[in-house]
Amino acid sequence: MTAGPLVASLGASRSRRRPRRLASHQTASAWLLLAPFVVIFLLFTAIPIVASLGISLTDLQGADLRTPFNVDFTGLKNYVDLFKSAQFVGSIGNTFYFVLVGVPVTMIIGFLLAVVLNNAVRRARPVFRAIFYAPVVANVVSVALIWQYAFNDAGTVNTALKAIGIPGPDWLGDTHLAMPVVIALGVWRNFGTAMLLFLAGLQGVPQDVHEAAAIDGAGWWRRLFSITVPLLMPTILLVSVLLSVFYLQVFDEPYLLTKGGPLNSTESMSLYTYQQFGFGNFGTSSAASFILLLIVALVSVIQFRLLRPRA
Amino acid sequence: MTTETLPSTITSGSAVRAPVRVALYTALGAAALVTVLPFVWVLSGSLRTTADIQSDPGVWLPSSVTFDNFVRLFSISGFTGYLVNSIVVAAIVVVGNIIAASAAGYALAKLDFPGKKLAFGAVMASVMVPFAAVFVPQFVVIVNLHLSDTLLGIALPSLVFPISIFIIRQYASVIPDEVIEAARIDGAGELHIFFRIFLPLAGPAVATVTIMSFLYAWNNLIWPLVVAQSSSTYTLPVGLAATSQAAAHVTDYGLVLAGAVVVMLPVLILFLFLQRYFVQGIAATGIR
Amino acid sequence: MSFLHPTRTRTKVLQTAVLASVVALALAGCGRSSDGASPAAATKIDNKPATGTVTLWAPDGDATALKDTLKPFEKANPDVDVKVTLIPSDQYNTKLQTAIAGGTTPDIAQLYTEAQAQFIGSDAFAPVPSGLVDPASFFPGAWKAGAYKGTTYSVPWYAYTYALIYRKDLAATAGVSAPTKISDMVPFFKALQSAGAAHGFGAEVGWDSYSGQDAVIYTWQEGGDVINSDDTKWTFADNPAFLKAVTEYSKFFTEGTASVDTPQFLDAQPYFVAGKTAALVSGPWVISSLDTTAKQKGWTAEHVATAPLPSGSAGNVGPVAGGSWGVLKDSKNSEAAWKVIRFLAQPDTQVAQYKSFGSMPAVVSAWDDPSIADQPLMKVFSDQLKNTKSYPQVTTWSQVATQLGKELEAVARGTETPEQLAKNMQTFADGVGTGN
Repeated sequence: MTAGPLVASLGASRSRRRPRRLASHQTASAWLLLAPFVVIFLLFTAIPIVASLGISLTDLQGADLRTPFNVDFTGLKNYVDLFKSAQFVGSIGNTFYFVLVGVPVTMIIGFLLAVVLNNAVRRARPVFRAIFYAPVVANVVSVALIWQYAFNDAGTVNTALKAIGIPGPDWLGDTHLAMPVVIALGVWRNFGTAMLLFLAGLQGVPQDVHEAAAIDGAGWWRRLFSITVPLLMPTILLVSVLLSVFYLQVFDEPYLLTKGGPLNSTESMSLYTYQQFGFGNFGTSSAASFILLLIVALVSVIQFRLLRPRA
Repeated sequence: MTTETLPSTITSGSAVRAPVRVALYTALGAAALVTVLPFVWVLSGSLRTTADIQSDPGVWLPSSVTFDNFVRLFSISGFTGYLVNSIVVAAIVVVGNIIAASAAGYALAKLDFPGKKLAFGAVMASVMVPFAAVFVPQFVVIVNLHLSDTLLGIALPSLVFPISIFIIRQYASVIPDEVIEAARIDGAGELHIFFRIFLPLAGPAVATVTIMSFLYAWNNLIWPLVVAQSSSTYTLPVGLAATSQAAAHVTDYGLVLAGAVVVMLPVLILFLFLQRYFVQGIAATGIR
Repeated sequence: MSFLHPTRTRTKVLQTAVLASVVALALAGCGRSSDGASPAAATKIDNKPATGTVTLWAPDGDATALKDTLKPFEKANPDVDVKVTLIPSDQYNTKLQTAIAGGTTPDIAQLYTEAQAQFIGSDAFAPVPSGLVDPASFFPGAWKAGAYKGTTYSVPWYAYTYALIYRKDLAATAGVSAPTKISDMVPFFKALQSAGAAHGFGAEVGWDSYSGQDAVIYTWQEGGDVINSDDTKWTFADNPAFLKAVTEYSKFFTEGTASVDTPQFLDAQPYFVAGKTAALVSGPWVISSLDTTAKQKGWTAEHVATAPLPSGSAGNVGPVAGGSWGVLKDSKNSEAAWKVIRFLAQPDTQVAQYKSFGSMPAVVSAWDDPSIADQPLMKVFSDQLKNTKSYPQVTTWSQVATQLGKELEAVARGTETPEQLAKNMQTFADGVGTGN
């Protein structure tokens, strides 16, 4: 079976060597094929990052926009100030909270659904697959309305709890409960993607191994953990990498539900960056986004190192 | 070929005992219900009046159905225009991704050239860049290209998603080299091979790229808002967000929910039609 | 709709290198030059018909009805084309900020009267031409809010202030009358609760800049402010008036007369109608839209009364807020743009705008129109508008007010004392500065 080529390629791009003569005539074609990507990359990733890095070393503010060169070079001051700001440091903690809880929960739900759909459901599979994927395609405006209403102090969730005799808490107003709700929204919006990736991965798990194990008398759970999970490891790793990178940049969920409150308990790094921009603090905003970029890169590198499949 | 013909795992359906099956279906049904309920609420809300929703939001089925919200939605000046703009932007983004991401993904998988590692590194790096970090410089670039307030300006940064390149690259790497070598020996040029041999083979991966890029372009709110300078270039999400207040300082929930239905329907339909290829596309890309 | 601009793309790509040079120049250390640029003398705007295209941006809300309001102007000026673009209100500041950064500003932009310093202080707006409008025709607070460092940059459009709005039916049941002093508010709210309201007071608890503004109002009532008189230094710490204000404000929550979590701004009216809350400190739009919220004509007249803001030891000054219009410096058609603004400042136009959206006129004489003057509940607002003050007119005010809102949440939830808040706010605000 393919040993997770995507994960492998994330770690180290192994390129098969071809004879020189072919390579030379392929070079022009290759760069021609890559040209659109290169142009877009330079314009919308490379240049903006360089500009953003530059701005992060200045005290550029909204009031300076018409005279952008008329600012002071402040070195790493923005960065130092950020780490002194309780709100920013808190946003790092909140972001990791979101990632460390959100990634495993999303994966477990997606994985279980995929296994059940793949295993026990045949004719109705496309229907369930579409239903579980529906939150992924849901539009943000409606998602915000639904969730705000559901977790309102007299909303759907508390009405349901009341029906079984439990007084519902004030979910979005409680500093300890708001983040779990924000995470739940993240999970709701993303478990469909995880499920599809796992379903795809499961298609590649050979059946004969299972049949042999079943004949040997291994139970369902046993086979799940001793056969399916190990064989699916590359997919599991891939999903965890993708979700981590994605969740580290979490913005929509807290922005839509809580705007970062109560008491900044759901403020993520992306949200902090965006709010600083709104205040016109471009230097601070750029510095914060750079720290986020570094964290994402660092986490990715660590994951690639840890997860790179043994050749 | 359909998904169902791909090898199924663990056991085939028949091997699961009947009580277990009942339990599994019950659990799945419950999970599906929880997933679907919010959508029922949106649909039901879109058929109620705003005042009705406000006085008692917790209603799953409307007592009296009104299409007034949809009528008002389409009578908002420019709403049809927003719809057209959304379609145009999504079309540019999807076509761009199909062609440009396929080209890049194919080159990275099947061609050998100096700078390949660098190019792949650039793809990797693009995944990690937070939107908040770059949207202002991106806008300045758009302005300098004289593309602010144009649909092309809205679409341009999304023309080649790194994740699209990934998907195509992985798909390409499982296509046997022999197929391509054979064409080369026949004297076909690399571009000819890409367009005439690779692309027709890449159907499932292209379907995946289509859905993912469409989804992003269709639902994006902040970037189109930044680029649009007049309501004539608004896309659906922007137009909706700008018309959510009907009366003074009170949200027009009926209108917003009707808008949400109109925004969501095309994506759900697209997914329903393409989901088979979508799953295959991911499966075949070697993400396993 | 411009889909594809045929442009000289190649040379434009080169221009984007300008961006990179921001970095280079910054590194080269070109520092701030001392701030001495004074606004150019404004030209006089004539009375000839306006011509050309005028682009106008406004957040959705009061400007939703602007197209209708502008119809008479377009009729009188057939050669002008006013293009109104509504922007989602919670994205408005970011959008305007980005447009200024990209140099793609419209001719006219609406500004929030109470929070415009961030923009008019950024050198992106043009001064109001002398003689365009009569400054004395507006509520003085609304006009003054458009000034930054001695130059006026915006013309008021609609204006509001706050008053106490309460359920007179519940007050009658409880046998209480509206409080005139801040210290009487909590007992009043408690009485309303005894008459059946879940919470006596529906404080709008977004814990955002609006909450921060509320605390400033109570500071004024105690004779203080949060910034010194020449707007150069924040005065949160060691400020008895501010401390008193925060203490009184937090009592609404700690005494159980207001919820820390609800209602949010757009829920305020439904809560009030449903009896979940029995009093609001809010603006005049509430009066004009409660009937709609209650789905019953005459509901407001039957259930609602208004009273002036309760006073503290130093009086009961109100805040001034609303919408104002500014013309961007880069406007290619500023002549016509100012003519549009002049039209919007006429009493007739202001009355028309009130009738179509309920926007309260910023022009004093417009309140004499029977459509407003005949509403007894409205009088309290026009009276209060003659006694107002502006929030600090410094570029960093939005940021400081937002932080103040967050800090107030901590006090209302009991996790911080007013003293700690004052100290934290001073540190934060000193870090942010006043921009002066």
